[in-house]
Amino acid sequence: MTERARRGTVVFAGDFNEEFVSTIQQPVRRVRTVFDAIGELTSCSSAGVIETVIVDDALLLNTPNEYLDALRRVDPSSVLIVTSDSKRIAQADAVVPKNTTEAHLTSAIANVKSQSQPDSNSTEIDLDEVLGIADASKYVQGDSSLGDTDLVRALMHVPSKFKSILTDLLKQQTNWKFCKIIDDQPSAPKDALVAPLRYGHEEHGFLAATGTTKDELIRWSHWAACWLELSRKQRQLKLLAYKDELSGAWNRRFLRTCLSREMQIARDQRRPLTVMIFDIDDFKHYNDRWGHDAGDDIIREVVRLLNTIIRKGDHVCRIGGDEFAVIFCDPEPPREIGSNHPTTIEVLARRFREQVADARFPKLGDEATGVLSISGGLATFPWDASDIDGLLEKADQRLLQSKRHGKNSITIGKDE
Amino acid sequence: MNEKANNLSTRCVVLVPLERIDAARHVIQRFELQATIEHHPALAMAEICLHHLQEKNAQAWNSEAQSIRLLLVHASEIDDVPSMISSIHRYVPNVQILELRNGRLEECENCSSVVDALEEPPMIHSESVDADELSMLLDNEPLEVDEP
Repeated sequence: MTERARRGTVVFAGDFNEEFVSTIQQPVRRVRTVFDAIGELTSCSSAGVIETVIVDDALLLNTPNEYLDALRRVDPSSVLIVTSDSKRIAQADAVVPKNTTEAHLTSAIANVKSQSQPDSNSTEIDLDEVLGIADASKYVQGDSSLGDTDLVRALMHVPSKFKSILTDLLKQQTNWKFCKIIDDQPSAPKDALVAPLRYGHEEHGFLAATGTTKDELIRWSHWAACWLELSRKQRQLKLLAYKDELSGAWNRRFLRTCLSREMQIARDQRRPLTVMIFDIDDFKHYNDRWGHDAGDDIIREVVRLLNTIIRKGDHVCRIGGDEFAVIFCDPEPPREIGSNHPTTIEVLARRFREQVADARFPKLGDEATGVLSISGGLATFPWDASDIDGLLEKADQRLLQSKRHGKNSITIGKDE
Repeated sequence: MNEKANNLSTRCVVLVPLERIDAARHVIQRFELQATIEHHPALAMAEICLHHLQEKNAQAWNSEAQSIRLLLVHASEIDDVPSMISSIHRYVPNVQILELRNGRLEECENCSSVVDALEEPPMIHSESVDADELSMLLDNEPLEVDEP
């Protein structure tokens, strides 16, 4: 392989009609065997450039699942499509006829990709996961049937599974044929009885069950609502402990806890991890001239701007009055031999600095537009430091370096 | 070749038919290999490729280099092995392929010939020839042309 595949590349493995392949709008690579397709995935794995592998079923002999499993082992994120007129192949993401059209194929790929998208609820940060609180290995179910202690353990170690464990416990205690916690009443099965899960003024959805009486369902719904409220309170307390109330960013405590975990992951997976520390130039001046309300507005706006720029998996923390830290822990590809500081983070940092400079702050009046600036420093594990304190110190040094050079700049990987 | 001397710094994948797994276990034990066993050539190649990626990554972090080996045990009984070897040569040429022969681990000598046989013959696009040249080439005599 001499030519490097480009992002979104489709690999065709097998004997495909040249005319058909030429209709594909994305970059295409053609190989003769599944083994070559595995090789292509390996060659491009760090860059994640291959989006789809299309395999002629004639190559799969009598063991289609093994061939497809091999492709998945090397790159679990690629879409696997098999062209076949007869076989049903469980391991494939989709099976299309051999005489498929470009439109049909594109639609099949889009369909598979849409099914693999996470639902909108999962985009919310899993605080327990980030803080390392969630640890399924510490959740040990009791010897026989579930009991209250299992719920306490679930709250402590696997909060994301709390609802399902609560439902399991309900089923065991009641022998109901069906039982589920649902968000709204219409989504309950037709033959199910439904009771609200309410604790004081707090609503927790509805409990739907079959094979029960109304009185029994209400009694258990009160019990379940108590537990759900406890779960909500616990999450609220965690957020209070780790969030900055003014800006909505994470706080210093979160920075250290999260950084410790992310650095361990980066070390294990051999990935880089970057921290940016920055502050607002002459923030005291704005506070003194326009008042603390205006200062608070600036803080909130800066965090809002930053949140529009960072990627899923990055974290913004307010670690002092006008001092912030950003953890760029969205996984960069594992390091290549001889690789250098990641350039994508530099682009993000530069874009952020430009956005702050262009931002409008109504409480400062029109004359303030364009005068706000930030100074920052970036430090990347493993090049700049190998522990949390070293990394933060290096980023801080570079922040000071930016200040010394006249502010309104971000220093990246260069020491004086 | 002294197999034992190199085993500690080696990642190894053993490809063996399912019904011959005891032979593979015996080899692993005898040569003190740290190996994974696969029964399908595609899965063996996937494991080899994952080792290759891991090794590439480790080298980027200045870790000690480890060699990667594919060990074939009774592999002639498995379909598609020559095709796998061809792809390994093409995409992960640093992988050493060994075969169990007469109780010894030996370099897979036939691998290159298998690969050569699988390669498509080179396409040679010659310059176009005129009728006269063609006649010369085919019949070894010039085409008779009417003189004006």
